Amino acid sequence: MNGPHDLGGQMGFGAVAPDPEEPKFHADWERRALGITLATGVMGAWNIDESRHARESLHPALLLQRQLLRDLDPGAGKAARAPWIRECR
Amino acid sequence: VGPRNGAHVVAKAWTDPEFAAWLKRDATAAIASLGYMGRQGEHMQAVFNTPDTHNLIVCTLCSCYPWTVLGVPPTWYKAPPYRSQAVINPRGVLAEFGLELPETIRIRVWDSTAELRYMVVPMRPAWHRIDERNAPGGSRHPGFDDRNRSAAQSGRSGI
Repeated sequence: MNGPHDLGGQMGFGAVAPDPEEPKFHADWERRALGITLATGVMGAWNIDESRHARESLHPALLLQRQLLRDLDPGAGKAARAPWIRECR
Repeated sequence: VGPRNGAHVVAKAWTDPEFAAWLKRDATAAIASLGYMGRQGEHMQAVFNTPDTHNLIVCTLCSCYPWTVLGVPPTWYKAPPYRSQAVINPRGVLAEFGLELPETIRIRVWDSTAELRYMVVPMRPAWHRIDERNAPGGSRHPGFDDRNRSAAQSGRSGI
């Protein structure tokens, strides 16, 4: 199924701009979220299809906005403030 | 959370031809033999760079990444610019990372799926003298200088 998550070949998002100094975690909540994700995965509380379905069921505007909000989050560290989103602002 | 497990896999492939052949044939089993398995790494395929082919990995639909061997993906891997451009302008994307490949080198792009994850095995540098046993875990990496590290990280990023 195509949708807003299907980005292959789309244009207009700007430069990739990799940051070689990017930290593994940009905020403390990311460590905790990864731990919870892995632990609940081992418990069988979710599977990959469920997580993909949940994400891809979001309204397109919400999906893109969610990315926008996350990248604009001043607490998320410099790596998350991607150039492509600054251009959108 | 980093690519240390993947560096171990690459180092072993560089130093053990039998393991390299196994990795090419059945990456999931070969990688699991080193103890790396689990969520997001259930099904793996290793793609090998050669003198005439360079491999690039992307997930255009999501941000699928083999956590068990390469750690958590960097932000650029998950962000729209990389995911959108990798399939239509791979040469330009690689140039953004400072890698400018001549036109004679073919670039093969692998689009990950929820089921199958990829990792790139870079070519073994002619000057490398890494001992596979020293690659993972330790704080000291004899013979693992900056150039080696760049090569191993190429495996992580798929570049």
